Amino acid sequence: MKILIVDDEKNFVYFVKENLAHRGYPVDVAYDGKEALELIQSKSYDLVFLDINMPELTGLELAKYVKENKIKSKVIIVTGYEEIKESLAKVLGADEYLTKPVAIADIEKIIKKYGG
Amino acid sequence: MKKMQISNIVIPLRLFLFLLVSIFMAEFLIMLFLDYVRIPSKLANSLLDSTLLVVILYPILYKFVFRNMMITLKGRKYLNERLSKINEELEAKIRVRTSNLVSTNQELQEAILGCRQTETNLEKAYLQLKETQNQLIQSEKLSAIGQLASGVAHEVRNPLSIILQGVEYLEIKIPPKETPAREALSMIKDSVKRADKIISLLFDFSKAARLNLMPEDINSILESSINLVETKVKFMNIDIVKETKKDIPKTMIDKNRMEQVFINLLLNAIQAMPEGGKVIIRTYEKRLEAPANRVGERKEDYFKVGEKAVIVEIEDTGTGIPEENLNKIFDPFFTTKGIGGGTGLGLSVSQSIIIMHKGLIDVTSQLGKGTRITVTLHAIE
Repeated sequence: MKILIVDDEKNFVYFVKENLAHRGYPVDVAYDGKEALELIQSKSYDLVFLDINMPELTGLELAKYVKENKIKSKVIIVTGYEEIKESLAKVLGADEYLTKPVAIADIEKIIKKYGG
Repeated sequence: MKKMQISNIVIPLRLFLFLLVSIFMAEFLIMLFLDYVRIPSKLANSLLDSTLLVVILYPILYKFVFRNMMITLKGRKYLNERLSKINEELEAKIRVRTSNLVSTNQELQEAILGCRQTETNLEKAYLQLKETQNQLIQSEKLSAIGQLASGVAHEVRNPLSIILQGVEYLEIKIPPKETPAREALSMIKDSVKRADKIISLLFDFSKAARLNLMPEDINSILESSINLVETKVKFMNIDIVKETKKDIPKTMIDKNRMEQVFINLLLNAIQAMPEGGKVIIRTYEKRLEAPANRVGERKEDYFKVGEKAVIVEIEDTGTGIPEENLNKIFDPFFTTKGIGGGTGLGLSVSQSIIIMHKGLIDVTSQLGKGTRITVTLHAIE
């Protein structure tokens, strides 16, 4: 299963990557929207975890891009904004949402849900 | 003036002298006449003398004494009658004036009563105004916090995420046998959860605008709220007494939000009774009568007079709230539970949810006896 984690909080990304690797899920990482877009275009990920507030391209714009271009990746919005839950995430085409602070178990649950 | 006085005296004086002279002349003539007739008997002489004297004096006595006496008596009688007539008229006038006075007095008294009523109404209106002002300040506070919360939450949750992920990373790196270190990690994890809970509560303010209103039965919402807190009181010597009225009208409410309110209120009641006690949950319907706080015809009123309302009361037999804290308990972050005991947001969030439903939440408390929270909601008629 190919997984991409996108967040401009480098420390967060570092710990998530380490923790998932320990549970047997190697992941790719990106620290801004532009970098993430290049990766999404070049590799076909099964799951993309997206932060919303990022330089260059926001997570919501990326999610919209993925859906509009019929890329098969599942998009998971990971954010501290609670309102996103009910409205924006779904409307803009995210498949799942997670509210920060996320535990590694929450991420694993979603990976397992999509067959990881 | 002097002349007039003299002429006033002269006429009766002349008359008086004339009378004396006339009597003298008459008597003189009689005596001459008697001498002439020469009556032998002394008795007959006396009788004749007396009779003639009476005959002479009669017209004088009649004219000057008897007639005047009669005139005086008649005049007196007439005056008396006139006087009593005037008296009567006066009395009638007084009666009319008195009754006028009485009615004026009554009117005045009514006016005084009216003034007093206006005064109490004004006082009441003033108190209501003050209350409304307080609530306005309160809702301003709430919306400010809501805006702040939404901004702050994202910024705080990012570092919280790093801490949580970092702790989970360390859990991998630190072997289970390092007990103190593992304990420290779980303490950090708990703190992260606590911080996150506070942010969630803050979010409840900013979510204020969105309500999913449906006709709901308040009793069944209370029932599910009670179920959720019942496990908490199992070992606490606390009785939950339900005095709910069946078949009360439904209310338009957001079920999840209202459940959150009742859970908050129930938990507060339970926490107010560390030694155990009773929580009484009451529901009933009521027509709202006199204008009261938020009940009336004004634009800012939530309820109309005569409107049917559903009332929920949650009463405990706990420690009660000191008077100086009563008007602070709905303030955000006001808590008496100490560090880690409470966020001070429970009641304040509950109040904002009730206000969103255009309902009322009131508190009455007696120190050492307990507290009663009354929630008033619109009934569907």
